[in-house]
Amino acid sequence: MAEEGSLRREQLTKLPSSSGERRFARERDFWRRFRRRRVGLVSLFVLLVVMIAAVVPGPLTTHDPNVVDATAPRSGPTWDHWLGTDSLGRDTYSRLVEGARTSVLVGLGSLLIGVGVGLPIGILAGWWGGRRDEFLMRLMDSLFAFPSLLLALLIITGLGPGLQNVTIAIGIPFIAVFARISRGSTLSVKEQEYVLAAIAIGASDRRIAARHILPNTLAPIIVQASLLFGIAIIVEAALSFLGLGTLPPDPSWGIMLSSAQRFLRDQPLLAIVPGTAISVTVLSFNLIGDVLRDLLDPRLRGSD
Amino acid sequence: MHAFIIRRLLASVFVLFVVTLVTFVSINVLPGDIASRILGPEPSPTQVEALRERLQLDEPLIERYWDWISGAVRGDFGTSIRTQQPVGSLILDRLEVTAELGTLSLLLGVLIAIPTGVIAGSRPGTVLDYGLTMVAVAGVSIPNFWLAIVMIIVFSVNLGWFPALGFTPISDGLFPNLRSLTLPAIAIGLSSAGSLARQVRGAMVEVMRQDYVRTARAKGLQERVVIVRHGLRNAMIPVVTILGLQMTVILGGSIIIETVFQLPGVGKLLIDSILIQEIVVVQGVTVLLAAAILMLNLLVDISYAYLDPRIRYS
Repeated sequence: MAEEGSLRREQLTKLPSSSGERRFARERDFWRRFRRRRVGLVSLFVLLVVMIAAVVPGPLTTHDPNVVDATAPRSGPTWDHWLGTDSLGRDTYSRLVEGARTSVLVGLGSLLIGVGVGLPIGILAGWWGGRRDEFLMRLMDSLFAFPSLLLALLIITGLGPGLQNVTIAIGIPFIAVFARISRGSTLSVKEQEYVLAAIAIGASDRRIAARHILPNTLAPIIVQASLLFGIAIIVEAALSFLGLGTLPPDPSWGIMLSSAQRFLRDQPLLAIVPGTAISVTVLSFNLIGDVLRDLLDPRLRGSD
Repeated sequence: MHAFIIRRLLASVFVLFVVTLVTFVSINVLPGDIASRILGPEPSPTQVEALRERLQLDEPLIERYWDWISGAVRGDFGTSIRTQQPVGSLILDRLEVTAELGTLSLLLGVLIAIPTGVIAGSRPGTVLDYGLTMVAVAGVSIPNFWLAIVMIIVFSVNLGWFPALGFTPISDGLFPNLRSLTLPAIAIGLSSAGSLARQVRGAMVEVMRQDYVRTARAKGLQERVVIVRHGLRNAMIPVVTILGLQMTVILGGSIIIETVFQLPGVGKLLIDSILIQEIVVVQGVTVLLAAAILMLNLLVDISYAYLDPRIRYS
């Protein structure tokens, strides 16, 4: 409380003057509150590790993830192989590190598709209103009628498996989610006085979209992106697990899980390791999404 | 009320029409040569020709869609190339397993989620609330097919309490039947319980802030009575809509869980058909699953409007 009191005094005595200073103050305020959430910090740390593994796996691995060690197939954890080896004698730990790249690539790619297509659709639908809005939203509704795995499976049936196709298949259902969110924010901003004022002074549609609508839709989109990143990882793993996702030799946690199924009796570790990696990563995305929602959603502000 | 139902019904019909379009376009228009995918990498030209003929691939797309959709409306979803059985009856044969698994999973999800959400939501900010919420988030984050595998390792392989694979029909006795579905239903039910519990908690927190709850407490009602009679009953209204969403989670879950446990349901039929490129079956199953979800959501919306009159007029 003391900290908040002094913060408020500081804000009163020294009001930020320029918009750059205001933004800086806002960001500083955001980080101050984010640091107080231990769950958020731990999740951020986990995700940083996953990101590093995805970008530069080399320094983290102990073996070449694709090198077959015929002398040690399906060994348990040893000093040499920290998490044991798979049925071909490949190092499980190094394959785990290598698999992070697939999850991150698919997650980022599918979100890019979802936001890139969904955001303009939502803003246009909200801005236009009327029949065109109704039509676009019913189209989006039809994407919601499919469980995301079902729609992804359908698209994979059409496109065939592989990393790129999986990303597309997961990204398309996301379009509906982001369209709905950005339409909602557009509708609420559209009637605000400052937007009416902008229209009155003859601001172009593009300027209104960029200066007023986009900034207002950003917070819910960031929150949703964090939650959907987790879903993308699960669906990728599910597709690869079914043999319809990423194809070998691309490493994937889902493929590791799928090939572990034959050895549940003798070596359950092979199934436990990749599953734990998926769960912990997805959990981190969900927890960070929750923290961001608390911090960015103005309706809940002041409750922490 | 009638106007509301008619409006929602018309919207659902339109959405269902788009669903059939999306299904048809995904499989038939996306760049990928169906013939070579069915016949393998190097088919002979005569093989390809015969298959194209059979799948009517040389006819215009609109005509093929019309053929398919006009049949589907009459309940004819085409014939499986491999088994020569009508797709409709193939699906009907598998429906029992999926329906039973879905019902059990939903029941389990609700039975876990409501007490969890109510306990957490009636004491917001406490350690108990925090702990239960963390468990619920974990429930959403753990992939259900991995949970299924871990349960097979623990309860089937090590303890031998449940069969690891396969389905025993109810005609062979209720107990063996339930035993074969217990682990699959837990795998689906737990992940659905996670998201449901969070919604129940949210609704509960909202309701417990209301004035009538303070009044109930002020007149000296026991906390238990306040929670159940004033809190829970009102918190259930928004939760009903979430149940519609849960159908999507549960049917989506059954696709992969039936495959893990080798249960002969609609979900496994779908995966098997995708793997051997039985396009006609994939189309039929997809449209039926999506239609089922739409129908269930429509029912949920109608019951919601019935429970909360404000919805009808918005």
